[in-house]
Amino acid sequence: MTRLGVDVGGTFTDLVAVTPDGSLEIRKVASTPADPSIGLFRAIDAVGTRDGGGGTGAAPPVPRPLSPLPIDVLVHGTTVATNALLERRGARVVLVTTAGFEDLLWLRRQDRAALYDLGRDHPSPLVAREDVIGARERMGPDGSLLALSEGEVTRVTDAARRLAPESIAIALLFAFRHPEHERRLAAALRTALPHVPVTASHEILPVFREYERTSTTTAEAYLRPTVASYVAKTADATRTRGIPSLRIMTSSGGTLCAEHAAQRAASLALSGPAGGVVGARWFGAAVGAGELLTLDMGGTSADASLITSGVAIAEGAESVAGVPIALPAILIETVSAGGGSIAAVDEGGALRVGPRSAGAEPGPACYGRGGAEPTVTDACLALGWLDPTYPLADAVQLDRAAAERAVARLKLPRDVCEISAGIVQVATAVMARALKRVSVARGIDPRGMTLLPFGGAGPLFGCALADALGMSRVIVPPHPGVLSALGLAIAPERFDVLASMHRSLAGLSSAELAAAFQPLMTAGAAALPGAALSRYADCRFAGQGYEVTVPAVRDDLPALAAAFRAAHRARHGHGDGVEGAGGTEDVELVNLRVVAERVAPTVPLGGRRGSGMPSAGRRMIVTRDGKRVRADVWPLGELPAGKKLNAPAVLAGPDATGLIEPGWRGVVHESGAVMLERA
Amino acid sequence: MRLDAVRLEVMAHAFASIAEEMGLVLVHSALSPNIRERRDASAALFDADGEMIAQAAHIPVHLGALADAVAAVRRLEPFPQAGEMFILNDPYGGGSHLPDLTLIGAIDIDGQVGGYSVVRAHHSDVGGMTPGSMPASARELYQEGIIIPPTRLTLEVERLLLANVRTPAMRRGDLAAQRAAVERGAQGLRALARRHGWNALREAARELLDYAERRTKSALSRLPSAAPMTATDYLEGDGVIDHDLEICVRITIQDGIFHANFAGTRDAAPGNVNCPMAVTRSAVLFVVRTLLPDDVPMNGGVPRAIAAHCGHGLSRTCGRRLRRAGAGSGDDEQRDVWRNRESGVRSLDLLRNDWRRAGRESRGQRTVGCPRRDVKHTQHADRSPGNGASRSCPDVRTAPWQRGTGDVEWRRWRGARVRGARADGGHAPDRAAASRPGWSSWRIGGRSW
Repeated sequence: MTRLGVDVGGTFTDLVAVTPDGSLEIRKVASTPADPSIGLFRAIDAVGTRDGGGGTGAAPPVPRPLSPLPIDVLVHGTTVATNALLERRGARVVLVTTAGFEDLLWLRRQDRAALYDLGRDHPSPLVAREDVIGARERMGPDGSLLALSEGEVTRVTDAARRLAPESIAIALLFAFRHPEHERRLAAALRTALPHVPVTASHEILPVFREYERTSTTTAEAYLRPTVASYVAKTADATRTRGIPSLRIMTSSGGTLCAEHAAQRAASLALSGPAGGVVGARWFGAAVGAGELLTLDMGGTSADASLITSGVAIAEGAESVAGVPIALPAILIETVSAGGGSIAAVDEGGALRVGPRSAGAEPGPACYGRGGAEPTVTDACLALGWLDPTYPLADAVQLDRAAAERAVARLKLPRDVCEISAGIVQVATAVMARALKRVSVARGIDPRGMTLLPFGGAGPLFGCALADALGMSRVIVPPHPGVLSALGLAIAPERFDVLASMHRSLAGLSSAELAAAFQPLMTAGAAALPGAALSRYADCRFAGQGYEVTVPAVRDDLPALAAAFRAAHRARHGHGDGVEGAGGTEDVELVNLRVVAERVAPTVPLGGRRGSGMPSAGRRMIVTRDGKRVRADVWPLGELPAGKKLNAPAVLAGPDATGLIEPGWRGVVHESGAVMLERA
Repeated sequence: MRLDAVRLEVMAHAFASIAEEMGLVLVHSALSPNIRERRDASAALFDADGEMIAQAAHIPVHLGALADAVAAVRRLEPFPQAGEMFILNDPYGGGSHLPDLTLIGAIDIDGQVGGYSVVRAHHSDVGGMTPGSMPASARELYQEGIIIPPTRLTLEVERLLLANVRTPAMRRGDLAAQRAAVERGAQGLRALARRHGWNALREAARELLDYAERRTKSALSRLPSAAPMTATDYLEGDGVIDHDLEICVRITIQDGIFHANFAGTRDAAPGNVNCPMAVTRSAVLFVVRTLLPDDVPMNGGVPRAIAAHCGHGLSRTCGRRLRRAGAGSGDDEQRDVWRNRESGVRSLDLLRNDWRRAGRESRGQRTVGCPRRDVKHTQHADRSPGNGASRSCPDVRTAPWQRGTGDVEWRRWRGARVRGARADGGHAPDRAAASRPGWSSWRIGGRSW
């Protein structure tokens, strides 16, 4: 039972194969942005070959049609949906909405794109204004106010046909409660335009707030043709290679089968970063850490996320690329501090890092590809944290002199090492702010949590970030650079079902709650047979505008109200609501959610392969407070369990580098992870 | 300079994230749409001397105005003690308009007042003659709602307040959210003080103020500053006076200081369109803020580079309003912000165009003589010169007042109208076109465009 996780990123396509005995095989090849599946299958075809992939700069392997290893599942994390949103390369959408509400996507929520920049505007909606059709109908909370006539259905269908769309979205008022009009319009449009996909809001997001519902429905329609064709093509290629199952990662951290994924295109918007959080959660569980802050530091940005009680918080992603998408998504807070982020001094004399990035091309100055401005990677190299003799994954040889030249360009009255130390400190501050937004801003104290930094450069900043947040434990996984792909390989299968139920808890009986959950449970069980079903309720105090999602384990309303109060108090500092008393009076239910989840077969943790004690190298490094120290250099991922590591030390792995700063000490876990604690 | 470049950046992030958290707590747990949807609220952190060290970006008109609230509390006898919480809304005692209830917490750090955590939020009703507490027909401040001078917030005070409003349950919920936000700010500053030490924190706050001042002055001194710029805009009556009320501003930039002189502006009006000096300063500060790079921290250092003079007319206004408080009515800050903003924005456009010519502005979307995108010219397309809105469209003008709609719609309407009102050159027939120049002939330093 070999499971493959393939994460297609902007620069690299990472692959991790998890074999039943828990051993891992890792491949890294260059991504092929024009058609991501080319890189995907180049990586897959290399599995089982001795020196396949670009890992050590060897020649690329000869592609073979069939993998030598029997592969059971391929789990794919894709940026197809994300990129289509970012680059606005989706389908031409016609939006059908209630007459009079055609401008909804332009009115937005009347917030400004940037408070202090009068010229900046929100990104334009995914549909052109002339492609919006207003249908004369109206539903209210209690049902039809203006019936949808047959003539109107014909008129809308004709208007849609004339516009010759590639995809159609339907979002009518109150369709989350009374979907009859939407159903009729959808059926008529599907009959009239059989080759055009039709997305109705009640099918994908049957909850109130028409702006978010309309925006999400439009995004689904916009992405569906692109995503469906990509998924179909990948599924074909997967079958050709004899791989029985293809699953696609969603923003919620669970996987969908190819057929479901093609129908839920908008839920793939954060497919890429979600894999990393799943991997981090799995690793945290393996080493017994359920309260985790994770940080994925890539080339241009860093993604922070939060795992509490072993569960990734799934309530993030208010919008992706400026498009509100209100589907379940793992909380991910992105800041522009990556290895390629450029450092500069502003006119007030402050050192800044980002948001400009040298990206993959030209890349940091030390890549020698024409970059001249100092980046975070250059600073790390100048401090001796990275080894210039050790080639990066893409066979780039790092040029320390170029890095130092770039840093010296900042013209600060300090030496190169001090400036470099400053750059990493500022980058740390930026990332710490993202970590605070996912933890402190949700009422969660980071000090009791464990930090799990990953991505190519993340583990270099583990101790620094832990210091900034007052945390006392850091886990450096054995393969931090491919943790996202590992997360894909071991991700659970997951299907979310959602329904609106806007009621006061006081007026509700346990039987009504159970009955309301029943259709959701049935739908969840049908989508994923044999899955574990868990129930959640979005609650709020009557009159509030934001909900808190709490588990609804039993049909016990006072317990639900108490759970909500406790969650509200933890997050917002008060739990008294309007009436100031306990009980269910002032609490209202907004949405019901059922999550069907089938976990992947557990694999034993892949410890170290090979035997013998790797020898430590020695190298002079400069710490971030500017001290020159002699550090041990250990091969990350090849250390025997129980080995104690003293600071300062560099953990040099094939896909990432970590650092044990003075004041910390490490011990190697059975899994090969290095557990860092304050000395 | 004791604080180096790195520490400066680190501390700026630390302070700003506390203010952001305060705002999140407020918006996510408040009840009224005014706060949770429209986000007419602000959160800021002040040091022990009453200087603002961070403000979250919420609503422009509160920008910098919270400093007056802290100053008002610090003038109290007895002086604020650590851990006390205060409330106010008096426009002449640190407030803006009555619905803006401001909570000020004196942060307890080691038994001393270590700073102030301030949260202002627009409550949808604070009593007065009409629901919503922004009565268009008010002629006195007393008609607009309960007036709260800087007061220690106790359960008794809250009871008194709740007895004077139409929606006490919602107010109680909003106040709970506001108190929680103030408390979150206090927790944040205490945690920071524990980590860095109180003295280091104070030092950092002072340095950050100086830093913001340096950045502001540096940005302002790069603008063309040789000659003063003037702009005049009009408020189409106040509901009592039927003709236009002018708002004049003259901008000079000298040694990096932005001087805005409102001399020539009409005296206080009998209707509810007046605006206290704190709000006028906020409007100017907002205009300056739009000229600064995004990454300048928003703190008390920015207003150091700003001097707003109310001029002859306004000083009389203020004096008179204070003396005859009974005759004064509510303050229409939003209108004034739009007004000031618009006149400011027009000055700004001239500045920006000059800047662009000098090759400083990279965006290059705007051309000389082409107004900004956010000044809508088409909203009253039917209006032509001589066809003044105040005469030809009485329904547009009076409808929301007569309908007595909630303030959300009321403001929206007003904002939209003001933005569109005169930008198309439409004006009252009794004013010659030459006296109301179109955008292209606004004057900068005597040069005509």
